[in-house]
This record gives sequence, structure tokens and C-alpha cells, in this order.
Amino acid sequence: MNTAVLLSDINLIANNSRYILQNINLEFNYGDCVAIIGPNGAGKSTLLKIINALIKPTSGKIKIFEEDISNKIKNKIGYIPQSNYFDPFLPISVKEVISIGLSAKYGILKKLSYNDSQLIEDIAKNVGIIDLINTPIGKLSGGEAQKLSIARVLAQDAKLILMDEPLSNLDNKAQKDILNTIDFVYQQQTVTILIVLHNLSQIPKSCNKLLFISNGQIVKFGKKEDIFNNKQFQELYNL
Amino acid sequence: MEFLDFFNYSFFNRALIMSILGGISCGIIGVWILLLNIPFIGVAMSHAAFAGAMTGLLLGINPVLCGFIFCIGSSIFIDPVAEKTKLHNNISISLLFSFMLGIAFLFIGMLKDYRAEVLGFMWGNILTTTWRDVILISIATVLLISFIIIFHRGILAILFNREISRACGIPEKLIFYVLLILSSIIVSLNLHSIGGLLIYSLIALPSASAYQLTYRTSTMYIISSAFAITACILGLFISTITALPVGATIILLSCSLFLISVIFSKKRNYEKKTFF
Repeated sequence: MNTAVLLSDINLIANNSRYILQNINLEFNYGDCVAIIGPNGAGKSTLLKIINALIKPTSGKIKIFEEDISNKIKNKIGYIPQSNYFDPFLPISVKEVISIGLSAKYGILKKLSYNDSQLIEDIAKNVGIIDLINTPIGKLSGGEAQKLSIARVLAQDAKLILMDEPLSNLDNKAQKDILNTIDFVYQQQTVTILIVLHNLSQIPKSCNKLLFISNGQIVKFGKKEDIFNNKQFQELYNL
Repeated sequence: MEFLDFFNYSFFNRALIMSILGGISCGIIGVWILLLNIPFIGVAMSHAAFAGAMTGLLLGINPVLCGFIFCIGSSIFIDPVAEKTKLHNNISISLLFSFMLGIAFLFIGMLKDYRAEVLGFMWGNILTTTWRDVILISIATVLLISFIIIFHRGILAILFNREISRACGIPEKLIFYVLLILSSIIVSLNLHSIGGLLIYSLIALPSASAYQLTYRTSTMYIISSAFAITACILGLFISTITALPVGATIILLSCSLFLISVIFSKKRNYEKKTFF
């Protein structure tokens, strides 16, 4: 299996006949790490939501791992949304959130075994939040909350990880920490990662491809170097 | 008559059992409504159940059954209506709540008889609980607790984040609608005890009190139920001794328990240790 995500003739039209996404034809290979870049309102987050079937396109076809989207396929997609705010009083712990990844993998009826608890602790250790394992999630900092999201998708054993602006609202140190974690995950697991970013300096070292979107259309998709040589991209980012 | 003499009467014992089971069931669904952040759905459901009961009285159909149908209908259609009309959820719920209240008072105005029943459904009267009510609430409470035990992993996922649950293939919509249906059953069965205008308070306040005290969802269910039972039993005793309206007494006791929870909340003192 070579193709992780195949988007064919995807269009998404708003109620007022405005194209949010237009004529999207994309193929992401298994094992790619793709940074999705573009100006505000380009359709980057919408593209991620279409891939994991949170939004239905007006027309077009989507194949994930060469199959139509079903709950069985969704179990293999790890989604990290843009907002990671938790109410400070929320009565859910870090361990419980990571276990939600296991629920996605095994189903909601399976009880957690001792081995599953060990796995949760190992994952928490790997992403650097083992000391917070019993902490209520409302007490986490922005960076810790992002690491928790990454831990959750690792527990899910996701083969396709979709990250929507994982570095927003984080300071430089926290951003660096998360980027290192993403690189670590990419190197340790065979996964495909699609990551929406705003800032060029935020592109993880692991990224081998860039997708540049503007006004709901693909401007350029390919290797990092090819994108950086694109004139529209250079004008937009003052390069 | 001595206070203890009341325990010789079947109606009082039924009211006591109803207090315990009603407290457990309202305490549990209150946790869902609070953590899912859908307080307005809880309000709409309560008023829909009340409107349904009035419709039942007007049409000569079992008011509890009618209340249940209205309650389920309103909670199930809120999401799809908001989606189709592109209205914010809170606006569609406000519309529904207003509509149901209008229906309820319109039918009250049209009812020439049944005054006592109308007041019963409005303010509640736990002392008129029948053995049939006790059996029904027992079955509903067992169903509720069984559902939590069997599906607690799925419930936890949607209490955490519905969008993420949906994205990773957890049957979020199914679980959410089962929660709403179970909540509708509990609201309808408790309607006559607590009253249509007060039932939402018994759902919201005990869970809000528990929210002040614990960082664990499982403990929150227990504390919320305990607070609801305490308010119901104390309210029953106080209103029996003083002849005050029982529904209102229960709700005011719930408010007092909430204030006590806020005052003694270690969460509010920003300590890292969990209270329970």
C-alpha cells in the first residue's frame, strides 16, 4: 500500500456559492510528512476536516489507505484539532484522555488491562508527560496539552495523523518542544503526518513535502525546495 | 402525630424511595448535561416534558407518556434543526424552550378541569407517588447505571470532546442520542415528583455542586447523586413537618448545598491535590 490519502476532484461550496475548496486533487503517500501552508482562510483546516470526514465535500471522492472512509478506517486516523482549551475544573485526567486513543483502537466495550495501563504510561513517558499522568487536563499548560494530544493519537496507533496548527498560542520553547516530539514520533513510527502551519519557521525537520494552498486552491504541492522557489509563495512570505 | 408515625404510611415510604431513586437518576444525568455543556438542552427537555404532560391531560392520554414523547422529540431534533437552519444551537434551543412553554400554558388555559393535576405537574408532589411510579423509576435507574458501567469508555470519550470522538471512529452520535433518550426518560418519570418548572434545578444543581469538589468523573456521579438524594430526603422531611411545598423545599436545599460546595471547594483554592 503506497497511497495514504487520495483526494479526487474535491469541491466544497458554501451556501452563498463561494468555493471554500476548489478542484482539489491530491495524493499523499504512506510515510509522507506534509506541512500545509497558506494564508488565513485558504482552506487548510477545512481540508483536514474533509480528510477525516468531519465535513462532507460538495463533490469529489476521498480514499484513505485505498478504502472509502468508514469507522474502521477512522480508527486509524488521529486528529489533533486547533483548539486545546480545557475547562480548569474538568474532571478528566491525562491518563483517561490517552486511554480514549485505546478506545478508538480496540472499541469502546473493551476494558483496559494491566498491559494497556503500562502502554499508556510508556507513551506518556515517550512524549514527556509521565509526571502528569494523573493530573486533571484543565491544569495543563498549552504545550503539555499538545503533548497529550500527540500521546492520545499514539495510543490509538494512528497510521495517519492530522494536526491542525499544533503550535498556535505556544511560546518559542514550547513550540520547539512540540516540534521535537513530532520529529520523534515520525522517526519511531511508520505514519503519515499532515500538519497545518502558519509560520515557515515552524516546519518540522521531518517534513519532506509542502502543500501550499491559497483561496481554496492548490498552488503548489511537492518537495520543500520546489515550494520555496515558487514566486507566489515567495511574495506571500516575503522571501 | 409523631414524626416517626409517618413511616407507617405507605405514601410516605413510597415518597422516600422516590427521593432516593429520583436523586440517583437526576444526579447522574446532571453530570452528563453539565460536562457536555448542554444546560439549555436540559431546560428545554424539562419544559418539553411539562408541555407534553399538559397535552396529555388535554387529550386524555397518559401525561407521563406524553411528557416522555415531547421530551425525546425535543432533545433529538435540536441538533438536526440547528444544522438545517444554520442557527446556533442555543438559539434553536431557546426557540424550542419558548415554544414548549407557550404550548404548556396555552393548554393549561384550555383545561377546564384537572386543576389539581396541572398544579401537580407544575410544582411537583412527591407524596402522590404510586407503586407504579416507583417500579418505573427503579427500572430506569437500573438501566441508567448499567449503561454507564457497560459504555463508560464511550461516554468518557464524548464527555472529553465530541468532535475528536467522531473523528477517530467512536460512535459519538449514537452515544450522545442514547444519553439524551435516557435523560428524557428520567425527566419524564420525575416530572410528577418534582414538577416541570423545578426538575431542571434538581438536574443542574447537584452536578454543579459535585463539579466544585472532585477531579474524577466517577466520583462526580456519586457526589452528584448523594447531593440530589440529600436534598430530596431532607426536603421531604421538612415539608412533611412544616407543610411547605415539597418541590420548592427540595430545590432551595439544592441551592444551599451548592453554596456549601463552593465555600468548601479545594478546587477553588487552586490546590493541586484532588479533593477525592
